[in-house]
Amino acid sequence: MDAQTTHGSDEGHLDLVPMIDCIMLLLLFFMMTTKFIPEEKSIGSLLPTNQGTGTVINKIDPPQTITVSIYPAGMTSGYQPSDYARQLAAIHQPGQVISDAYLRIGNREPLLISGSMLTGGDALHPQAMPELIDHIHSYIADELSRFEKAGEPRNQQPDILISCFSGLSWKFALIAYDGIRAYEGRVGKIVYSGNPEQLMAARAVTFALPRIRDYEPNELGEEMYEIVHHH
Amino acid sequence: MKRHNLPQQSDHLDLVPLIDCVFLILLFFMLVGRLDDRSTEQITLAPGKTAKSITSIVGWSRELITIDDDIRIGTLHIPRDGDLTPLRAMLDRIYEHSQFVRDPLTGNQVPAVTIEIRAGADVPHGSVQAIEQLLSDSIDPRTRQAQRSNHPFVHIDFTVRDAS
Repeated sequence: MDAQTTHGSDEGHLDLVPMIDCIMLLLLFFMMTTKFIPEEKSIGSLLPTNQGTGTVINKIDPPQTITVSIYPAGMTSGYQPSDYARQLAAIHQPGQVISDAYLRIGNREPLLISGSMLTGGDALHPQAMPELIDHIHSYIADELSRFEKAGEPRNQQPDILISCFSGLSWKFALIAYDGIRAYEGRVGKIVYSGNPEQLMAARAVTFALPRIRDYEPNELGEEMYEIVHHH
Repeated sequence: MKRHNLPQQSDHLDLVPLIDCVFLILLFFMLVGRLDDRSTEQITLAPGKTAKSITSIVGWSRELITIDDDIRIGTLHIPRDGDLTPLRAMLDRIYEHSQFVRDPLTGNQVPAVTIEIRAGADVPHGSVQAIEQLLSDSIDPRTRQAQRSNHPFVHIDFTVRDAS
């Protein structure tokens, strides 16, 4: 017998094709489902619960409140609500966002904020947004330091009310809140680590209540008038 | 004349380098990818520098409200400027099933729930205001008129894009 059977000539040979098929499918899955997005973080806040018609607390000596007013750039004081309504109609078309805004604390000179820069719109200068945010934070810190009550704990300092025009983008209101929290973190050394108990010792910072809608024919003009003229 | 035989090229394809590359790419995507139960719809968030990493408090629950072209919480989608009654109804259900903690400021029992508001940067501030009012239960969701607060949520997180 000189011919050896060669059955089992495939023994020891590992077929890699199915494994490559599975790996390719896995790779395809991950390539299709992976999204590269910037990391999201959060800023903690407390909503005041004494709102509405039934739980108003009448204080004998109302505390001083610092108002942070945010309204469309170009609006100046001295006009009537109807004038503001016309100006708004000129700059705010339905479906479009208002590009720039003024941020003012008290009766000081307002700070101009570029909305496009805040969204990181300068590809040629990637540091433009962080620099703008630093500039806003510096302005807020300088203004709030004028209202400091020396020796008082943070939750005894004057409350801060952020009054932002309802038609402006949320980013303008949030950057004001972010700047105030940065100031409180630096002055009060309150570094919020996610524990709501920490906010109990923090200064009260709230957003202004929304206006009642569909109640007045010139409600946007009225709202603008109140925000621009409130100090 | 001597005949020269051309060398026969081997028909064996070496797959090992290909498998190495494919494994490296697969490893990359497995490490950088993350299966998240949060909304995967990309929205441009407002920037902030004081934000902290999103963490959950032990014993607390967390609910996410996304505000962009519409308002989304869980499987509920409602128009941004429309009737907020379905949203408040869902919040009422969450309120009824939540644990409670004492609010040191008012002494009231408030739900141990952190509501995360994830709003697009160019969402009108008025829409976020309305949601805040809805969470504090001080607004009629249908008419957006002020009302007495009954089932308020107090602890809010605003999701931002880290700009530090």
